[in-house]
Amino acid sequence: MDVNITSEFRHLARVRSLIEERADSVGFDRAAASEFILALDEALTNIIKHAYHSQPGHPIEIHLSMQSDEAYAEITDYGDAFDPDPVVSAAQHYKELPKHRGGLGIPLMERLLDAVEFDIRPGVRNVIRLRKRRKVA
Amino acid sequence: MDEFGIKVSQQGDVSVLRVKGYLDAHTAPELEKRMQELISQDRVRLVMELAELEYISSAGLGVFMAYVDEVRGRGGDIKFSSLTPRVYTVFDLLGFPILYEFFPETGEAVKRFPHADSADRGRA
Repeated sequence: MDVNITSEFRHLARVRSLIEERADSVGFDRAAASEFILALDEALTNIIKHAYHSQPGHPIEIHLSMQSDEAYAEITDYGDAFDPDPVVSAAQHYKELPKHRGGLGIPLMERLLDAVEFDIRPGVRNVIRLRKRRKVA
Repeated sequence: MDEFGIKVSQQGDVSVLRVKGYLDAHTAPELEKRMQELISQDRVRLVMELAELEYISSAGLGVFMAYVDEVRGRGGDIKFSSLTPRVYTVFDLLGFPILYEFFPETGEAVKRFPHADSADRGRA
């Protein structure tokens, strides 16, 4: 499934609903789907804020592949390259948390997903890949 | 999908913000505006009642981070009450329980502010 949006936060709710419907239709675990949806919301928010500097009208392409045991999304934008925060330990993150208003999105994505990958090609395009597997009981 | 909304009420000198719906980057500015209004009126004892909050992303969490130092510096605090397990999980993943107090009931959160009880009695 491909979903194209422009860089406005008002589209977040629609994308979340579409993924939720898709997850239900393929029988993907609801708890895992909720975490995947939140991570994808964080990725889109990050792109709008940092790649497009909250300017509306810029393209964001979402390719979604969802099966009963795994959800995968590839999100492409053509904005500025951004350095994803380095992976920090939970303890270090908590220590630094009071200093930061922003910067919570990527740590949250890392905690919610099985894999997150940033493929940044400055001046060409940025791709974020998200993968979430169904929880094993 | 439930619409986002905030209702503010006073319990003594504590402001209770009942936040409902979906709190994301689109709706977070509304929460920020309400918090700014309260803080500008010197209302720095804040309880976020989140029983009807369906969803929160880091954009919502960032609003609390933005104001916590200021309200604590002015003798207040931000406390949280009545979270659903789903919403609490997001706070927990980012370590918020180390930095903030969470309560199952709003009344308990209100009582944890010094003098909140006496203020209530004074207005009764």
